[in-house]
Amino acid sequence: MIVNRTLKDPGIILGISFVLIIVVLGIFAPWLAPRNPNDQILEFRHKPPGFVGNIINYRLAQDLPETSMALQNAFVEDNTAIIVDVLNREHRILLKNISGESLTTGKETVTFWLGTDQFGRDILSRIIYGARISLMVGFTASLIALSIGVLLGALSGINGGKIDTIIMRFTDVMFGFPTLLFLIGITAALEPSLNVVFLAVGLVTWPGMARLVRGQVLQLKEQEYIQSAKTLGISKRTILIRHILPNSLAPIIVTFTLGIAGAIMAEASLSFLGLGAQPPTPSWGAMINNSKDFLRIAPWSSLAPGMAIAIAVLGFNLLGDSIRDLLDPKMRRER
Amino acid sequence: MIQYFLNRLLQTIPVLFGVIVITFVLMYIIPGDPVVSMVGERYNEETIQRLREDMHLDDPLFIQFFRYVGNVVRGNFGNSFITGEPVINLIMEKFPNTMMLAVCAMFFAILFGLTAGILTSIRPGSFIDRGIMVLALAGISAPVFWVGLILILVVGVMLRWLPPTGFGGIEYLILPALTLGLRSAAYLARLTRATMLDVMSQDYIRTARSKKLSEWKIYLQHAFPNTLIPVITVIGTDFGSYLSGAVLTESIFGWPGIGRLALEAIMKRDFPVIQGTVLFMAIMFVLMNVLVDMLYGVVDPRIRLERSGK
Repeated sequence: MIVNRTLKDPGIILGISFVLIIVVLGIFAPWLAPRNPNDQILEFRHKPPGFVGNIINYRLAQDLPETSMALQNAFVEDNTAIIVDVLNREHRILLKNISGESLTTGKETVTFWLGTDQFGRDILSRIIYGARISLMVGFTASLIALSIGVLLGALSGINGGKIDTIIMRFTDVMFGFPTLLFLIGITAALEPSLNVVFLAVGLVTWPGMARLVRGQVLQLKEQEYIQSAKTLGISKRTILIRHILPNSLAPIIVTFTLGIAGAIMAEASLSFLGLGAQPPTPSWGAMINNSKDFLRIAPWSSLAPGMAIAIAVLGFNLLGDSIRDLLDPKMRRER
Repeated sequence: MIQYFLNRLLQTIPVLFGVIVITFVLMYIIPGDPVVSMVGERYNEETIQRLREDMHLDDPLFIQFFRYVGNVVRGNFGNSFITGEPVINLIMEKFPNTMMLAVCAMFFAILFGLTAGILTSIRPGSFIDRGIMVLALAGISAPVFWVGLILILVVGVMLRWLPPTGFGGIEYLILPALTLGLRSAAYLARLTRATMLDVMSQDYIRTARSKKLSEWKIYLQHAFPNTLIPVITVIGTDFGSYLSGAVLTESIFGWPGIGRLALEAIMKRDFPVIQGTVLFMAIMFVLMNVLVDMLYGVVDPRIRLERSGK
């Protein structure tokens, strides 16, 4: 029955597909990305989507990292490749230092499907690697929020009284802050980095989960089967873990999924403000931040990562909404 | 009613106190010496010692905290490290701009959100309904700064209808207000649609229909007033955060509001300004929420009774 309903709902199909795309991109980034996300080809700055160029990958010495150069022509002389770059300069590189598929000159034709940014980096590859960062932030931050929220919410609901009052007052204060502002405050106080963002988003977004779990506990506490468990002398902890939490799983999963969407958006916003991922990390938000000054000459380098954020957030939002509708039609709530 | 208002106001006191504690702690945990970041590279031991004494940084923590609370209550948010101006003056200078942007954004949000919500609820499942709802969902999921950049690019740069960024007359206000209001518009469209669909299936609408009132009359006179609740909900969830500095929107459009003031202070590590703006925004946010709760009470007697009975 659930399967039937699932297939009829375009929302869940879209949601699952978007989430799957992002997850697959994130996990298999090294295999899917056509190029190294941080590899710069300065001659190919601000090239539009679909640009095709010839490049050569080489190392200046065997143990140095690989670099790339745009080239016009190349030919081989003994054990040296003579390379003419796009500015008509000649370079001589030992053949053994050239990597790439072609054994003779290392010449490679590359298509930049989404164009290049201001450093000549492949935007598609950066977006694919960016999926990793978004997923990591989404899951880590949501897990932190989940742990704190469930713990405090359950403590509050089960015990009631003073503990409840203290915890709930605390969540009120947390709700008193606009989320983004709070995050900006924390990341500004500390050195901006992705790890700070992971932690900060988790530490700021738990109150929603805490209120939800508390509400669930309060509601379930009055149910007859919980009352009878209590009469049987089963400890509060066991009742909580064995009976109350499993029955609250549906709303918790929904909140968790929607929390991932929120965390992805939060990371993108912070990185956009320069308070999250630092260069050259290919975070979607940071990509937009770094290329927004070139909006007029190279709009694709800001628009493509924004699209990626929208798809990821939309995917997790749709998924969360659909899970809510599927698991518990009574909980259906328009938002 | 007065009882409910008073209760609601009293409830904000611990929240406001908590907000002050958090901003105080936030600045206290910052790595590095505030005095050093204040005087910068060119300093000597004597200056530092004098400044430390001036700022009472060697006092016990709780005394510093009480002094901070006392200052905040008297409206003294300290002085900027960089310009030396009182932070409260900086905030008051920028706040009208933020206010203007917020009001305009909310106006767009209500205009478009209500229209879309009502249009879609007339024929649920129709092409218009589906189309608008997909747009609304996209509007909720698209990052604000991205939408802003697209508007700048299309309306400002390509079509040249409006100035892309900057501050001045009303023509500078439209793009940022649209950007800021989009999310609320999308959210409001979904809420309004749900409310209207719910209302249209109620008994009293059926009664009105059986009395042969025209569909339009039913819509406008009987169903429409119910959309007031979603409108207040959206104002409640979003207007507070608009007022508390639409940091992203203001930074994209170069709008000189408190959001940008805070962001610039962060970039310059101007701690008193960061602390002051964050605190001010949080206070605005809390007060806005109280105001909206009171509005609910005025509009919907059920809420008033339920909450003051507790």
